[in-house]
Amino acid sequence: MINLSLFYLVQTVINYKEQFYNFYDSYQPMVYSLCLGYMKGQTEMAQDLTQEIFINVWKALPNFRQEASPKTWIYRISVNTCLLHLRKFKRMQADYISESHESIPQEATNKDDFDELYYVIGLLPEVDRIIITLVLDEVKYDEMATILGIAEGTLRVRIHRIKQKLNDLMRNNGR
Amino acid sequence: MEDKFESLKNKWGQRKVKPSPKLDHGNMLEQAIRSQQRSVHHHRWTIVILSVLVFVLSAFFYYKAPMQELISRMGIVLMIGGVIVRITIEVISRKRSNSIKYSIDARSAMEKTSVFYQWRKKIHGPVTITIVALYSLGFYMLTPEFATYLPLKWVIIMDVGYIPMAIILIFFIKKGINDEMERLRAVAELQEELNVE
Repeated sequence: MINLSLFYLVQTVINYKEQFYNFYDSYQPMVYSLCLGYMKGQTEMAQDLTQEIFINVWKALPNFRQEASPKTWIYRISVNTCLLHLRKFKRMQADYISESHESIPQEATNKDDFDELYYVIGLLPEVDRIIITLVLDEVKYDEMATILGIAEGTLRVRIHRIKQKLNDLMRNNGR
Repeated sequence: MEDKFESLKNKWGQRKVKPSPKLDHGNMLEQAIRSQQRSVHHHRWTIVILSVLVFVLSAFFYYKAPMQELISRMGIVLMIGGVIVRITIEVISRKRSNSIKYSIDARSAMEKTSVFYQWRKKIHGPVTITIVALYSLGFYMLTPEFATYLPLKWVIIMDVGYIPMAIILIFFIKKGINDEMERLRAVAELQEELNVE
């Protein structure tokens, strides 16, 4: 049993190593950007999550059939990993919000603008947080629909509502 | 009306997202392989430990202490049978868990994950508790025959000593149930969020 799994492992490494390197080098910034938005700009957690996503990419690689583009395929793995990962950190996240963000920074430099954006994104439910981060990363609506499994029309309406909510939150200092 | 979001969105693409500097592709692959192996080993060890338990119990009752009374034999069947059922559940559980692919769309992935945890809820709750109860019953069914071979003191020590072990086992099972129910609730919430029209 052990030899068989070792043989399988060696075969997998031989067959998929180059493809994995290629995916990692090409899509790591894209994945990291999604994680950063999802983790409210917390770099350390976003890095850990990025690694977790690429671990899942590696596990899924033998089943990649090119039915979707590599980008969509990696986005799907990223979104599912994010959604199923965050619960582990729920308490930590709640502490982070209550302790480090009593209110949104008032005077905005560029960096603060994004801090503010990360903060208000962090106030959204998990799925909306994913959706808006994909919008910020300029993922097309039809691609987003296939990543999330939500009809494109429904998604457009939803994005409109999320944007309105974010604007309201930013106007009212996150309240 | 000021659309701050749109103005930030326009700046978003220009910002430099510093990629995670922690690992290059070689180290990342190494870590992925390690993680994959860890998960396989963890599952394998659970099955190995339970299989060793079946083997030790079988060998003990076959070679060391062959029981003569019907009630004792029924007790042995309950104990060993319970562990075999547990091993079977572990194998099925692993197979079902592996069938959830992360590369499908989020709505389908959450649905499949939810179905998996619903199944685990059934297994972890009534089935596991029944297995532990039957195993314990089987253990105590051996007492009358043990009492004919062993001094009463040892029989009492065995019977009483089993209680704290059973309590510890039940504590861990309960903790496992609570953890999985928490995950089920979380996945149900995500499903609801994904289904919002």
